[in-house]
Amino acid sequence: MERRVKLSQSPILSFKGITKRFPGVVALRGVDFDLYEGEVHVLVGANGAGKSTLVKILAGVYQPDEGEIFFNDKRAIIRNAEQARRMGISIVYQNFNLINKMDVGQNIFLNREPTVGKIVRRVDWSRIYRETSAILKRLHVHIDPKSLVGDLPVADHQMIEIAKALAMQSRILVLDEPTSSLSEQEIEDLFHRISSLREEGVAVLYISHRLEEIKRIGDRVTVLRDGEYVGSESIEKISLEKVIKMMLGREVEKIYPWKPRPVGEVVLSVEGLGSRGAFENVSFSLRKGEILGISGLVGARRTELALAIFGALPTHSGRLIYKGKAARFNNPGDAIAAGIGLLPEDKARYGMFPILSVAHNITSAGLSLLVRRFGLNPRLERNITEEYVRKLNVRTPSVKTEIQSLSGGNQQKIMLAKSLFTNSEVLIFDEPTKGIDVGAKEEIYNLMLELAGEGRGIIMISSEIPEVLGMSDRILVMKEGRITAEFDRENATQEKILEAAL
Amino acid sequence: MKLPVRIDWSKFGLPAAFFVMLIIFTVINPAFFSARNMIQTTRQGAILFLIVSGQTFALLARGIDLSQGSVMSLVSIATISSIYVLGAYAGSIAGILFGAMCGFINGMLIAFLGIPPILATLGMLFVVSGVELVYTGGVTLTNLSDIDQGRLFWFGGGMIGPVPVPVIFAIIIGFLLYYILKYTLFGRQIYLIGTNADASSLAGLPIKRVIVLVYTVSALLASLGAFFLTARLSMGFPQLGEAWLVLAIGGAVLGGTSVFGGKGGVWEALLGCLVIVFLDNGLIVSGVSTFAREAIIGVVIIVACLGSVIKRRV
Repeated sequence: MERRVKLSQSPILSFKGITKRFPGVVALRGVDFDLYEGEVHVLVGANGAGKSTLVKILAGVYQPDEGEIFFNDKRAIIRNAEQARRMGISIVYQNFNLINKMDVGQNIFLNREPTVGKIVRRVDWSRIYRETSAILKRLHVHIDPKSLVGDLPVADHQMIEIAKALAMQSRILVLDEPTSSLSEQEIEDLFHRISSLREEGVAVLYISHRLEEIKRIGDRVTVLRDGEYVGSESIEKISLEKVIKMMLGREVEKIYPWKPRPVGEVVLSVEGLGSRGAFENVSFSLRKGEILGISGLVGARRTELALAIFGALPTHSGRLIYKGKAARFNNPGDAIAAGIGLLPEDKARYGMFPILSVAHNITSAGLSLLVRRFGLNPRLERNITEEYVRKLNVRTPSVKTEIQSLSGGNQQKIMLAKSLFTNSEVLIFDEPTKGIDVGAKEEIYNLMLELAGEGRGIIMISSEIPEVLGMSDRILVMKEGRITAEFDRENATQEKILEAAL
Repeated sequence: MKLPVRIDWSKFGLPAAFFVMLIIFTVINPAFFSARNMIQTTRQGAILFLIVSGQTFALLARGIDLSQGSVMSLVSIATISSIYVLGAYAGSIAGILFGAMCGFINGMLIAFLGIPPILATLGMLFVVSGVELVYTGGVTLTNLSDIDQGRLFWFGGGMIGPVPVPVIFAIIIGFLLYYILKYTLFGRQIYLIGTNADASSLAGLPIKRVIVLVYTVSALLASLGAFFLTARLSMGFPQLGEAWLVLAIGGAVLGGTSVFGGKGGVWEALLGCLVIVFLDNGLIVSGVSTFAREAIIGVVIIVACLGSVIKRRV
């Protein structure tokens, strides 16, 4: 308990009545917010609640239109990123800013390389690596300062970003969704590190979509909703249900709306499937109307399995039986034509056409469905895509809007619509709720149930064990390219899944 | 849920600038707006439009076609050589198909061997101009029969009423290209592939086929441009295409087609080539020297590219 903040001291940073307007929208409206040294302050809010605007004001990217910022009780104006850095504010963004072709030390001291020599100033490499080692040691991370960033796992990238922030002697550390690409064990490690930073008196602002993390790591929580400050509470005094209610502005009965429903015959069987260098001897079956969860750690090769079923990754053994017949999908086109839909994990790379419209994105995998006598029929395309936008409750000015201008949750709904547009009977959802907020998650869960209710088979790959437990009828666990366990919904527990995955 | 739709004012910038430019040149020298000058300029514009449209296809697919200029020279030679044997009509078609074939090879190199477009088409540029210079020895091909010359000249220099023949063809082809890009599977697939090739692959699009077609179309349109030019000259000119490549890329980008793929089209091609031909002509009429003209057009193209880069970043 003694680690909890002593609120008697004055905050290192406070926002008073901060308002930020963009053309046509108020991103933040009169937000008050205090950050103390030695606390982990969790900032939560649905997509579009104003979290990233707040972070950008802190980083000096945006200037508030109204309100004042106090730093150590003195009025402060953060004009730009450089000034934020001098004030000791470090921000670790969701998408990392590391350079893969450089080593760890070079990355950590990028643009701030210490030099020796008076006339010819040379980079002091020995100091860079010495100090890098010291910082990594302080974080209890075992990484060679000379290893290339590109050769290291994603989890290490997160730690290197944090090391970079610490190398700048930060007093305020902002972590934006730090756990979205980490496995359970890595998250555990990260939380240890954050705790020790807190002991050292660093003020940590922690932004997360994962509500279960609030209790594990936070001291206080601040909730934003539609740009408004809803409130700040001590973690001990608030329940998760209360936090969700504050975020959504209404009661939520359950996060996972799973209901029992009839399950039909087997629609897809995978028999002894193997793909060289990825996975071996994978067998399972999927029934109509069933939601089959696949759990596992990062690196369990679940995405590769999905791609192989979808015809996007070559296999060297085994076969697929689809609707009672042996099927062979040589490319994604074959799989789509047969009625298989994929929602890829990395939507920016494998799903979205960022500069194209919502309508063009939805129809991209099933263009031939739009062909009438005079070619592609734009009116048909508009009507169908508007129907999807309505059904999935996508917030967009129109179906002609570029998808890149929408929020992550809305983009994900459009990716879902894209996989539905081709009349898929089997849907493979790879991390369907990664990086989206509770409200959008709930909508996606409801939609999954509706789709299963229509008799479609759904394979849901997810790294969030509560999600797998909450939404699946049956659960497979993968580890290093093999299926290590299968559970019915009734028998599955977090412990059993973790045991099979580790 | 509906959010308000925002109007993109940036779309109107270039057409506005274009009309202001027309007015300025007319004030400087009223001869600029004379019927004679306008007809001459639209004839040039029609040919540039075809070439720019071809380049637009390559750019939309996130590629580029550097071989357009040398393919044009080849078509000029191939057309006249074929007419010696086949007569004006069949010979012209043979010459144009010869050019289109170079584009087909470009497409195969890019789609099936994975050679980056900039290198594949650069290689094609040298191969084609080498072959063509060896074949002709750099000498202009003339001496068409009077009948053939008469038939051929009509395509480049003839008029239907007050309108030059190439302009009529360009308008018909323009509508056809607009239809292809907007209403055919092929057209839509170009935009999708040019925007995100990885996502296109997972969406089951026939990427290789589309790429081969794109470069074939690019070369075919350049060949048509070369054909109209050759027809007007009524001779096979080994350096015919040299100056046109830069104008083709410049015109496409100036009109608003993105060098990063997936954005642009026939309208942008038309706008870009109109600005270039009328700027060039207006500068001539205003008495600006050839060298200064090239420099000015170069600056305009660079500024337009800059605009395209900035738009992409925002």
